[in-house]
Amino acid sequence: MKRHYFLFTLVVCSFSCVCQIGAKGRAMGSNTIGLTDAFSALNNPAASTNVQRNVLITDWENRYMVNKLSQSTVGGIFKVNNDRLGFSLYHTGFSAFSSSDFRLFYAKKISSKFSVATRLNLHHTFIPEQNNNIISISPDIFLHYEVNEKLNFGVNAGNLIPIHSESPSQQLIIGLAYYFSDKLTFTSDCIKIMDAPFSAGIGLEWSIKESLFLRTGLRNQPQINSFGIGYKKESFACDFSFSYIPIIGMSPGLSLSYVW
Amino acid sequence: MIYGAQVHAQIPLEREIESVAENIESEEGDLVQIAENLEIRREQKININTADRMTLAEFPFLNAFQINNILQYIKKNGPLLAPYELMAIKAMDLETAKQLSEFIYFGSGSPKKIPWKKMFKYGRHNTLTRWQRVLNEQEGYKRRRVYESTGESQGTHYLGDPNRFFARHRFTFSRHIQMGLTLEKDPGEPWQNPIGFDFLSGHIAIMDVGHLKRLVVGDFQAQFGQGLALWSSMAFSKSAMTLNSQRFSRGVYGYTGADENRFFRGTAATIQWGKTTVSGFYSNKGFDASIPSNDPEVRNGLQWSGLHRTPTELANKNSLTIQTIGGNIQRDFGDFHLGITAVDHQLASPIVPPDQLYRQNQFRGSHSQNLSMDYQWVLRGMQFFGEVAKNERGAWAQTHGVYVEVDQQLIFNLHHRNFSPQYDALFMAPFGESHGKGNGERGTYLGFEWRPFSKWVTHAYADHYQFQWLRFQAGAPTKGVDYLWQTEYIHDKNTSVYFRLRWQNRDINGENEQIIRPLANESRGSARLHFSHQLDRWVFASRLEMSRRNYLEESQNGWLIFQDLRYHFLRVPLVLTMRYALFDTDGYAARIYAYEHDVLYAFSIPAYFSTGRRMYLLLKWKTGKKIDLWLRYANTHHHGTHTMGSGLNTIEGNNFHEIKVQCRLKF
Repeated sequence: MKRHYFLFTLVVCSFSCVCQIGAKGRAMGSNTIGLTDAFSALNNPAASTNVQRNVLITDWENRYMVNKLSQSTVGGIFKVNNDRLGFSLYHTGFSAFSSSDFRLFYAKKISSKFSVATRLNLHHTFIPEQNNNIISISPDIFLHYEVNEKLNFGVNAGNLIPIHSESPSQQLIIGLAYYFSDKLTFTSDCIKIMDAPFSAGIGLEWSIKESLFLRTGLRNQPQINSFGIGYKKESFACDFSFSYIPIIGMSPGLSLSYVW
Repeated sequence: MIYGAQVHAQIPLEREIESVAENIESEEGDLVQIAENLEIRREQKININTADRMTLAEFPFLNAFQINNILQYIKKNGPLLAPYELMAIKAMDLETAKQLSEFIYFGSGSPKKIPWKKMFKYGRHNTLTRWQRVLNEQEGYKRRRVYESTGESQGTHYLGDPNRFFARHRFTFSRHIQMGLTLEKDPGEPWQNPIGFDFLSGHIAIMDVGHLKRLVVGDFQAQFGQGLALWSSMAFSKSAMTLNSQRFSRGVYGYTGADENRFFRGTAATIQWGKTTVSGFYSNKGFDASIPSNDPEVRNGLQWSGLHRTPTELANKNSLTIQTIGGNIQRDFGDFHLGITAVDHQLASPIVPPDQLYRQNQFRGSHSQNLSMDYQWVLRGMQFFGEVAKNERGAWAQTHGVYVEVDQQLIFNLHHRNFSPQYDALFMAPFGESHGKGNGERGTYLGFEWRPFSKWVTHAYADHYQFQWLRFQAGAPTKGVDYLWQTEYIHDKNTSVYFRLRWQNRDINGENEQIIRPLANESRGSARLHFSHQLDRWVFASRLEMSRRNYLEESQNGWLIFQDLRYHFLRVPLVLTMRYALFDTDGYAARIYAYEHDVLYAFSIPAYFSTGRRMYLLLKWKTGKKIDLWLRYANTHHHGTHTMGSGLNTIEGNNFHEIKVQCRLKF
């Protein structure tokens, strides 16, 4: 049974770079690289330069309804003049396996419509049965630019230059966010991880009212169908997500954010 | 913004170059002359009101319809006065008009004449030097190192070092005098006496002096008609520029390219009396040809790579001398244009192709002749063009086409070619599937350009062809189809996106398990989505492309995703270009080509295959008015492999590094 969980975790962690995106992003099929919101600390730190206030976030997901596979994340974005400094701390695991990431980023506004961010990731994986304690470091580069008031693009070159063999796989994510109006947002990301199949998806967010959001998304590799709702009140926001991967099952998630 | 205009001037040319590379399956073509001509025109703009067809043909972004319409418009309405007036010309779109504006001025008469004695004062010199090298040790050099240190031979090896050196000097005076000198040593080639460089080329050209249109002494190109009888340089084939099936010949002109075989050496001249133009040339040049081991008196065939790295390649260098005499007469009858071309090649050694059935119709012997007649006829909204040719064996080849402008938004291009299996020419480049060879091809091509709404343009073509004789990898007459669809949205001068679909199906040899090898069907498909945007001094380009190849019930798929970034520094004259790409293909058959920015006059269109990453950095530094410097570093990583490349180019490991440094001096 423990090996079962271990295999599941390995499968999931191979996608972990993308899964650490918050409930809103998961509800939109993990198509978030072009978005600008409180969860840019996780999705695209370059976009955080457009977030005008400091942010604290926390995220939790109960993957496949298996408690031992749950993951949790905390993070924040802090204003430094026109630039941003931020972090995120991620953890998942149980007695036979645990994985943690600490990520620190710096985002700089190059022009009114273009921002760049660099992020340093510290990964730690521990498998007691094999007495395996793996620590690796990887750098990421993010870009975010506005084509016009409706269309934004985001790019992530993950683990741009592998520092050592235990580093995560290199990846390239290119995506967009198109704002049809204040109420309707369309997103789409293309993801290529070096040793994984090509993945593409689309996401949609609809603002029913000023503070209530409905979201849905699709992705092909792995095949994910997702939906969720969000509620925003003044400085607080709360998001729920439900992601379904065929055969493996449903994963509910919850995110909270606070801005000041 | 100047740099913005430069970016957009290159994009359609980049796409056409990509298509050329995909069709000829080559990673580096000699497109130097095309790029250099554009550079010369940028510096020495032409007067659009006095430009002739030959001059306009130098701009690869102009299609046949546009060239003819420009000439017709000026003829009927008088000189063009300003850039905006270009939009009044039929079939001219905004993007092409802007590109053309970079290279022209709107003069009313002849340009101011500069006395000849001031040639050296007002003439312009342009010197370019380049060094490039693969930083890994390739197998060919490893064997050379072992052989030189121990005397132990591990098979054939490269004779020279891995450095590539290229140098070119060009002198131009007004539009009347041009001199060029090119030196090149490819990687692996040994330094040779007396000058060291493996390749040396030069010419002196005098242009537009009275009736003398052109006089070239030295190395030159010759292009006439539709490429059936004589076309010594490379020519674009099928591409997303779907209205470019007509060839626009430039006659004879000085050669400044880097291709070591596709040119002539001798003397050429073109004289014009009124509406009649007469060209003649003589060439006596050595070409690379393979020498069979059992009969050194004959040659198996011409070789075009220009590489002389191994003892065999060096032995084949310039091993076949060909004397060529040729001429062309052209006459303009208003809307009708007629040309006649004749060429005669005398080979110092006979060509005897290897004894394989598919080579049965290839040229053999010591004497080759071609005679052709080409025409162009403009009739209301239609333009007819074509050529009929015959060779010394009495075999015929013909190509005919027509452009039809249905309205301002829709133009069709219909083209039919029919080459007898016995027809060929030593230097030919007709439009078709066979990339510059006859091969008994017969086919019909239908392309169109459609602009249904402003900002939207669609290009598409369908080509059905067959080969009436065997070919390499096809042991019987075969047929095939080639379809392309491309839709582009040009939001404004800064932003565009295009989507392209392509599908090809052809017959090639099947499994080699039977006495008579049956044909099998091979299909290839690709889909591409490309977005580009300019934001102030930044230029972004993103691409997603997938490919698929089916053969013998086996499929290979491929993916490519890349992000380009270019930045023009503000305080220093630096331009930085970079790319980060990830690719994943099931094998070489599903490879994907993608154009890369390179140093000036160098073209890089690598094939992305296997699983891995590629990135490059290109830095251009304009140190002053006279000196430009370039530095390029490229790295390719293949995931999970222990070697890269094949044969003598194999390297140990899975990271491939290459560097280029180039300097240009203008004075």
